[in-house]
Amino acid sequence: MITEKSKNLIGEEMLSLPKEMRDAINSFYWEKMSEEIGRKYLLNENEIETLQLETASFLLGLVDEDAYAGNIEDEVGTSKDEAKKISEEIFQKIFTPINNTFEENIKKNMPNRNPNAEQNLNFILSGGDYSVFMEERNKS
Amino acid sequence: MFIILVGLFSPLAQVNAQEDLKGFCVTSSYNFIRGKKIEIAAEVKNSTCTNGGGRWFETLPEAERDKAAQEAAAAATPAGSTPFERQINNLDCDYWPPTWFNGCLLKISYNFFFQIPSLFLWLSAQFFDVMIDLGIKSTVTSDSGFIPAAWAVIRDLSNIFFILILLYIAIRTILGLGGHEVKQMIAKVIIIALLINFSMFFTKVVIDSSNILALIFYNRVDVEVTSTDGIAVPTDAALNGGKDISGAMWKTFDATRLITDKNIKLLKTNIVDGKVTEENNLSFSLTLGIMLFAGGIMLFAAYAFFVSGLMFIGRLLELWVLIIFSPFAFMSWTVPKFASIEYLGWDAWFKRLISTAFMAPIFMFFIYLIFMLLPHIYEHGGGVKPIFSRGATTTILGAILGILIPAIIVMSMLLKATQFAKKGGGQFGEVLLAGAKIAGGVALGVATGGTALLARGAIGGAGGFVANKAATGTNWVGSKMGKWGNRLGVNKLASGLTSVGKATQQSSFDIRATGLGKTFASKTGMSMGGPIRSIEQKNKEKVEKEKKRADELGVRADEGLKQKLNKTEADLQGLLNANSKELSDLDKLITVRRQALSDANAQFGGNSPQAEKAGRDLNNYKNRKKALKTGANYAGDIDINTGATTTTNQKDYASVNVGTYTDSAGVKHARTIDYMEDIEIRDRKHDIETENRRRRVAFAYRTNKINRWSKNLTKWGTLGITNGFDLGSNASREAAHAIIMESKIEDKK
Repeated sequence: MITEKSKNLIGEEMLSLPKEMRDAINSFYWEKMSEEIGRKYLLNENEIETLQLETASFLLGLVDEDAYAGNIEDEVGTSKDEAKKISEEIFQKIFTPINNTFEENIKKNMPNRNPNAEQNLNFILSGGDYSVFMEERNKS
Repeated sequence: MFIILVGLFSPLAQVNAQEDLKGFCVTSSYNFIRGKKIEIAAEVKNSTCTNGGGRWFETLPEAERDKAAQEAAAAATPAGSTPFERQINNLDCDYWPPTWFNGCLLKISYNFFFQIPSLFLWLSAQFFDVMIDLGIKSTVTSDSGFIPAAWAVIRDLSNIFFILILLYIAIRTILGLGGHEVKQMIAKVIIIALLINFSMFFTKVVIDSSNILALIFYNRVDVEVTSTDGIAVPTDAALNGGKDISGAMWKTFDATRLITDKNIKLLKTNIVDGKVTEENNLSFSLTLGIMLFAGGIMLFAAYAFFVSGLMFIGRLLELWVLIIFSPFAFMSWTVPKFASIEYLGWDAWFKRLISTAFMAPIFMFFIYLIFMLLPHIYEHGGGVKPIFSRGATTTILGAILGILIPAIIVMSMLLKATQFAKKGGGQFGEVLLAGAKIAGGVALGVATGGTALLARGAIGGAGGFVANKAATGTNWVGSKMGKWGNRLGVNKLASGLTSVGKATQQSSFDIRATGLGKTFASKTGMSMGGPIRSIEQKNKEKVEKEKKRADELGVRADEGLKQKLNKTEADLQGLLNANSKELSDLDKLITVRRQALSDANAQFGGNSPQAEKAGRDLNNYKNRKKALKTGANYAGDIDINTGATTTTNQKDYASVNVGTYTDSAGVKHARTIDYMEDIEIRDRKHDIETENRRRRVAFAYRTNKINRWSKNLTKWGTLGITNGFDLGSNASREAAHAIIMESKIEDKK
């Protein structure tokens, strides 16, 4: 199981992510799911914790997609095939759904449907700078 | 010349529109030409006017008065001179005072944009009327003496085929290959051998049927032909029995109506602050605009009439050929393989006969529909529906719309009818249209194809290589110069060279595949062109194009950065291959030992000695694999029973590397499997991505240059009060943003 210390560390790093991404990650029980996947592939407690840390690193954007399977192989200590299978399952069950939710959150929040008068004025005076509509969203 | 005179002889004749007028006097005077028609006061006598050489008109409603004045003016117009021509003739075209630009340009434009299109229209309209008349009259076919003669030759040739077919049937019967099919063929041969002599008759029956059907619609088309003196005359007298269909259609949207006296007067009239003033001459822009508008309408109509007429010639020729080859088509029906012969076989022949013959009634039905519609879109007299008028007065916009809208409706319907004509017109119609295309296409194809082959080898290979090398060097300079690279155009030069390299290596050097070639083909094929794209669609295409262009600017396979990555990957693969057996074995052992540990945990519990033993065993293999991948010294296994260190399986993997790698901080590292997988390849890819990003951003800034310049200039222009205004196109702005953000193009459908 992932330790409290690791959990806090990951929590702190998560704060640096965009709100839409944080919401998407928090909407999934990724720790529990990665633990289940680790158990399925007969990993012990330490190995599962390492797997969760690698998964968290990926979610935080610290690890590339290409390197994820290799990291599981090296850090968790699995065979190449096992690492590949674990990686594929985690992508399917954790990363892809989180990514889809993230995209939906972005689409849902992107257009500022109710710009205020000041934003409209700024938009006209700026000669068409759409970023003036984004300020309100960033504040929230 | 005649004029309307006002205020002759006495103060009684002063202009006063408010008085109750009894009549007005028309006589010759310069003033009328200048458009100064002035009404005469009540006290002016008829005799006073006529004694002065004028013509007296009783007071009439304004419309009738205008009409009378126009009639008087028209009577005074020299033969062949229209009101618009008089306007043009009035223009000066001198060096001094300098009137050559306006005056001469308008005179030249009049000839080019008005006179020539009207000539084309006249010719094509005559052509159209004659072709329609000829096309649906069977007499042209029946009176052609060469058709029976040519038909007889084909019939005799086809009769020879009957002998060959009978021989074929006989041989198959002798060899025992005959069966049901042969018996059928014998029956068919006997029937067709009799009917082939009536093949021309049967074909003519089909053609006459279609012509009679077409004539039903043709005869219902009510066309009143007007002679030059304005008197309606019987159609037969005017067009040798034919009908002036094109004339009747043209009357609906007659563009020359724009240049009648009435409309010219409208155009010259200005209303400023409620005060009506009248200019002496039409303005330059209005005159040119009228010419272009009328000329455009005339060319459009000329095209529609010409294409329709041409297709009727095609139909006529096609029908002649169908009649001539009808014996062969009949003969081919006897043998299934003959029946499917292209163009002459029964299947193709019959299909073409029906489609070609019945093209005429379909076309005439459309013409009939158009003529049913004409009275609804044309109002005799004014020629403009009241919806385009402002109250009782026709506006100039109303006049233009009154011409444009009927023109679009009538000509669109005519072109729709022509589409059927094109389909039914058969091969000859297409041949007539495409004759030049085929001849020119073959010659150009041989020439351009041969040239393309040579150019592709010579320029494409060597030119592409040189350009790519030059682009690599320029990109390097650009990366070293930072933002100055962009300002001095180094990045632009690099991307330009990349384009040259790509274009030269990909191009077929075939002008036929270029936009120019396609345009040429389209134009010579009299194509009306594809659908007009919307601005949004064009913008989207531009964004996609720019983004694609930006993607193409990425590091190519022949550049140093990519080659370094390739070398690293090759080195890693070499190292993995050299140690593949040991790695594979260790992987298998790890899998097996992991299963053993899981079993021990399940059977004896996680803290049991058996589980500890299995755990140590698994760790030994994991550590060995790790040592192999990191190039470390594996000190030996842990005793699985006691947990003590041993030297069993001790092995130093220090040699498992391919030299050293110096990182960005200048530190040297052994290039082990682990290091190359985790660090070196990642760094190489990162270098490429950084360079790609730099190039994309540089390209995006160039794409959006107008926007940035306009923003800076307007910012300076407003002394910094505003942030500047972005005057560039939305597409450039969006493209630049998409390129920088590396975003996908959003599909807004």
